[in-house]
Amino acid sequence: MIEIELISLVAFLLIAFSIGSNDTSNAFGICIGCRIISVRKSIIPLFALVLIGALFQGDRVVKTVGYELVATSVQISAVALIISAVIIVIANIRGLPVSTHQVIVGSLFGSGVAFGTSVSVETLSKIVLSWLLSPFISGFLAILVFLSIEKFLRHYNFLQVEKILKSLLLCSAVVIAYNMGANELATAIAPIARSRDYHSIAFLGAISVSIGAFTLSRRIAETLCKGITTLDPKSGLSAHFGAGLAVYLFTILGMPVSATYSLVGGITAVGLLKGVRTVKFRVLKRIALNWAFAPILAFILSSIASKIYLWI
Amino acid sequence: MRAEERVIDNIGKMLILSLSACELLRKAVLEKNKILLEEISRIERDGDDLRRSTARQIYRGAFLPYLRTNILRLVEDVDDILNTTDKAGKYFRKIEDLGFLENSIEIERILDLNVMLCKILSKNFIEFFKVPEKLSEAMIVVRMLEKEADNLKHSILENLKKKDLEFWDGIFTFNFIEALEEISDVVEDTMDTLQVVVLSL
Repeated sequence: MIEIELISLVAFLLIAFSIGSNDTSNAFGICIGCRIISVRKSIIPLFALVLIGALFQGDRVVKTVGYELVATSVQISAVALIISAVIIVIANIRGLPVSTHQVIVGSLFGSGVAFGTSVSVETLSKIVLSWLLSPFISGFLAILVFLSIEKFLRHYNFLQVEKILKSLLLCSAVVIAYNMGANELATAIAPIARSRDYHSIAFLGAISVSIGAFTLSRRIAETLCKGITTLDPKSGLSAHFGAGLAVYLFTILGMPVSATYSLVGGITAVGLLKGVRTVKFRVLKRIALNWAFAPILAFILSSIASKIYLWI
Repeated sequence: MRAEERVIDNIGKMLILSLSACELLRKAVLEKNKILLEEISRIERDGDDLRRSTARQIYRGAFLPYLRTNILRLVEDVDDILNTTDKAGKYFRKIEDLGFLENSIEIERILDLNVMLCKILSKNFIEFFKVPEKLSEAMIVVRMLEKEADNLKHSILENLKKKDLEFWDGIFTFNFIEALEEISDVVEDTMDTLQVVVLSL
């Protein structure tokens, strides 16, 4: 039993590392790219915000995923986390964007079904509905932010606008980094929340997220910076802020939603506001396919792994 | 001082240098004093130093990435005013027969126009960032002055055709007049880039 717990802990740390290496770009990536803050300087606030997020509001998402969705046991959690970690690591190596939330929820549900424990279809429906709604709500909020910025910044001159935009980008990064702890890390903690002390796991998770951010996120931030140069600052900031606010709203509701998909929703909405031609629908279609494929794959693989475990 | 303020400050200094260069060129041509032209080359080198230092500031992270390309273009445009003024000075130095300057109010007018254009840009540069409407008004004035300089150039060249000039003197005089008018072109380009920068946020 101790070995299983240890394996699930390692898998959790691996997922947290992956959250740090990939999703830090959602939070501080733009700020790093714009050289508002350096990678090294962003690590301490990132660690603090992730930890604060996980400790202050992470319990809501943990309750939904770890308690209401599936009646977890050590074995269910171990299988779900190992499968999630394998999918996330392979996807990262191959450069495929997957949502940590979707993979964990899909794996946990698949494992729960295979083990024959009590699973809540109602909770799953609520989570799937959140996944569906989050890009739209993010888009709506991004448009609101965009229109407000346009109206508010009209009274300021060029240099003041530049300064305000930089400050707002940093505020937006703070919101997203907080969400990383309160929503993303909390989703990863959820499967093992019953068997371990939440505070110490949150602390370990925040450390792993920070290590992941420090070692791998520079490359991602640089890529993001190159991409962001084609996006004007007001649109980029609006999409960023809209996504941050949307994920925060879902965190209050205890729903695990992806910041990346919310960001896609925000960027698309602001793009549509500026003109349909600015939106690349082919890319959106690929993202939507990936969105549907990841949790289904996680569900199937986790069910098979659980059956094998039970058979052995 | 913030990195962005340092960049703006440096561009302001480059514009002051370009005004000084244009005033010196005017004085050198009207007084036929070629020694003054060396000072223009020195000013041009100072401008190069400022351009390099400004580019470094931008590379280190001044301004949002979205703005950096246009800010750098603005710096290069301002540097181009200095380069063109220096180029005009260098051609003038090579001309031996300065007879074409006798009674040429048109050349004097182009020199005056260049000084006026640089004055508009350098005196109001900071103001343009604060009041974009003022920039739009200045754009109209700059376009009018540039057009006048262009018309004057063609008139000078027509008159030049009638003069009996030695081959090399003819080439250098032609190049000098071309460069003289090019200064107003470059100032207009700088104003265009400045407008793109100011309106981009």
